[in-house]
Amino acid sequence: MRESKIVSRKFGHKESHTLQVARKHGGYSAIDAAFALEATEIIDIIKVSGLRGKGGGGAPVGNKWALMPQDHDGPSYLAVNADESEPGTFKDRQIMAKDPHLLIEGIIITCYAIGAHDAYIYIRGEYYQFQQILQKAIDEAYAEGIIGEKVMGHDYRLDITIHRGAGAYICGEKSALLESMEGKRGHPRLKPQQKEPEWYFGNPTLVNNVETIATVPFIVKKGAKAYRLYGTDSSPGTLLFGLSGHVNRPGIYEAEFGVSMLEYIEQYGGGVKGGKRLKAVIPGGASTPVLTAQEASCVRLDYEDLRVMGSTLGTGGMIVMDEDTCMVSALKNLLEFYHHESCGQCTPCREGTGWVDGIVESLLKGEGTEEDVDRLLDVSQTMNGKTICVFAPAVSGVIDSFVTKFRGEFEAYLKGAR
Amino acid sequence: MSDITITVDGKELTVPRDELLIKILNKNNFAIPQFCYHDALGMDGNCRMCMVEIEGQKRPQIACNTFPKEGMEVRTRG
Ligand SMILES: Cc1cc2nc3c(=O)[nH]c(=O)nc-3n(C[C@H](O)[C@H](O)[C@H](O)COP(=O)(O)O)c2cc1C
Ligand code: SF4
Ligand code: FES
Repeated sequence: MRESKIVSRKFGHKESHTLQVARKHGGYSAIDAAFALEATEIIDIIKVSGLRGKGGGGAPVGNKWALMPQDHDGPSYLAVNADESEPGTFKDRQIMAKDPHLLIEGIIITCYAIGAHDAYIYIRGEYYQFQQILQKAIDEAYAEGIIGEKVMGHDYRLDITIHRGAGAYICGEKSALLESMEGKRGHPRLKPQQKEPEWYFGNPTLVNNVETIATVPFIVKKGAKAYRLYGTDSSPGTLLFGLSGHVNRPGIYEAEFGVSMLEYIEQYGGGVKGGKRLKAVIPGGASTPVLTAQEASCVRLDYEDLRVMGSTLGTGGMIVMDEDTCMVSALKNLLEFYHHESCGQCTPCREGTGWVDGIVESLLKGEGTEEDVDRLLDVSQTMNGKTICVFAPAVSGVIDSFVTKFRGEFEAYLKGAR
Repeated sequence: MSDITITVDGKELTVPRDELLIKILNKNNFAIPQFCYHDALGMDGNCRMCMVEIEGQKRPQIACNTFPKEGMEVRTRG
């Protein structure tokens, strides 16, 4: 695997979170290049680069930016999604801790491209420490005239404000995030019938993930082609893939799309811990269907290949499980999380997550019957495609993958089986 | 506003295009469970009980947040 560092390029330097070090290594050098272009030209560059949203959905970023009206009568906003609550995902915090100025640089360019003068960073409450580092970086940027009344001497005002979340996973969903920022309960909104931007207090708003925004300076400075040198045709570029679970070296390692999953786990993670055999991998944060070792050994890390495998790339945060993992307990662990985090608006999700959690609990206690295993699949079916947001369908996909691929383990827990 | 034609469970209906599907179903005696919608209170869209199938749509849709379209084919029973 060749080294491909775009976002994590400065991570290795000492004190890389300070303005001085950031500047020394090329920080903010994309700003002048950006202001030399028209806003629409930047959107075109992003479109051509094929950049896809790195918050889990993988939607084309340029098309989303183009939805922002350039002639809106009133303010437009950028909301940076730093809620990062998906279990197994810890990449955005790496950016905020090690290169917050890269994020600010990306915010400036993005705001200019969509005509926003106010940017908000919605950071999860538990990230207090990272919020402090980020706030310091923002203060430095204000003091140096990088943001504020004039962005680096250009006639453009930009203010950046951090908004702390209060610990709800669902506030990472873009419309729930904006509800929360408006001071309301973090409930996802009903999806509009046609494509349109998000709305913050009735004004058009763009929501992008931290890593997406942090990729923008590279593309604007080096060009769309330079970004396309990495990755595959339909999944261009790189991602801060992550490893957690039973590996020797868990962590975040940037790689280009299209590399082999097994090779990635071997090379960066140092293989499965204790020399054990691999049993399963959850490929992209807890909400993506689990892969068996067999599937993991032949899949490539890009959006298309994981789709072919019946899973999704998600956030790229892989959870590796060795041969001794009990898949029933692993599913229970996830379902407890979902039961707790369902926002409770939609009946199938609010009730369903509780039911499946209860069923798996009774299985683990040895009180389950044969019908319970099928009932899991049945409830899962009711949660798929019938709710306001994709939280419930994601849970459904997780349940289906665990139960169908490891059914033997569920049956081993049936009443009288042990 | 001009009227349009839709079919519900095979039955043809002429309906105003600015009326919510759930109201149309209620008026025409199609039994459709509903919990969070009420004429006087409007639409909330979260109980997910009023789902109907619409020809050409991948997923079932909630009748309380859907407006009829010319030629729309709606199914209320599975
Ligand atoms: C239940 C749920 C949780 C989500 N959590 C996050 C999150 O923590 N961080 C994030 O960036 N996106 C999250 N998303 C995706 C956002 O809704 C949104 O698509 C994303 O922030 C858009 O940015 P991107 O296009 O740059 O990826 C979540 C989505 C759902 C349905
Ligand atoms: S699917 Fe679940 S999390 Fe999403 S809006 Fe409905 S109840 Fe809330
Ligand atoms: S009546 Fe509750 S979702 Fe339509």
